[in-house]
Amino acid sequence: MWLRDSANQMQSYLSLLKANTSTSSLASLYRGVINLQARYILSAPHCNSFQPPVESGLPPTQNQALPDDFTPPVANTTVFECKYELDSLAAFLEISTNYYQATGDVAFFGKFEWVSAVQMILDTTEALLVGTYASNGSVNAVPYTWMRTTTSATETLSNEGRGNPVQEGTGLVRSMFRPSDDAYVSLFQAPSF
Amino acid sequence: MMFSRYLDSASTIMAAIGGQRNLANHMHNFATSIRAAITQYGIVNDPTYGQVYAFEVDGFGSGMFAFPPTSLSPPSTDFLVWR
Repeated sequence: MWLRDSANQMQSYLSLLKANTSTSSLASLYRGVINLQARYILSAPHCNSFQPPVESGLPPTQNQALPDDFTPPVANTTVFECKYELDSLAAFLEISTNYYQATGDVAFFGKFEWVSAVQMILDTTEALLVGTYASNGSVNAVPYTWMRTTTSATETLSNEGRGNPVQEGTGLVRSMFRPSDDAYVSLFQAPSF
Repeated sequence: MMFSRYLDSASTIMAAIGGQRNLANHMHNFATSIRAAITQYGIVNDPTYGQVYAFEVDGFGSGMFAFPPTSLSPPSTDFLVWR
């Protein structure tokens, strides 16, 4: 399940969404998407696509013949792809906003893992405020790197998985892949952040 | 734009939950600081149209321009009317 795509697929139903406690309601489908996304974000906040939940009974699918090389590492039985795309985390906040504004169901957000998932999003994005170089010219440690064995430049990251350099102290959040799943050229992307 | 705008709207959910005022303020303040950074670093000068949002910037002064369809997304996320 892709965080961005599952959130956007639900937008088709937004005009029909209203508060409903039934488990066979559209509101319940929204709650299920938000809860599953929260689970995924807590397990691997840099990743954009995840294997089916264990409850589905569906087996994991291998994405690449040679598994991607990324940090922090996550097993490919949990994650389908781990391209860090800021809009994936934004999509979780968007569908959460959509559900809340349509239903006013604030109790749902306090009941499960939503608060923890938001805290994880803050921890993840704030760690990526760091610039490429420190003021003395040394290279800063970066909390996420990603590389793939590929023949396409947009399917991997330069500088050993770090991506192109960005300025320190801008207040912008670094992201490595576009919403199109292509690698960025400049890592601060206006539509996403 | 998408992240900061929805981080801010989600901060109102966090505030309404109860007992999460600090986290809600944190979310709102972070969203506001990103918006300020977009205004400072994300707007570049186009020779024909003047001040425009860049598609990507690196904070050093380099940037990329339109890359449809992603560059068409700001109105869909209400970023341009978010205050």
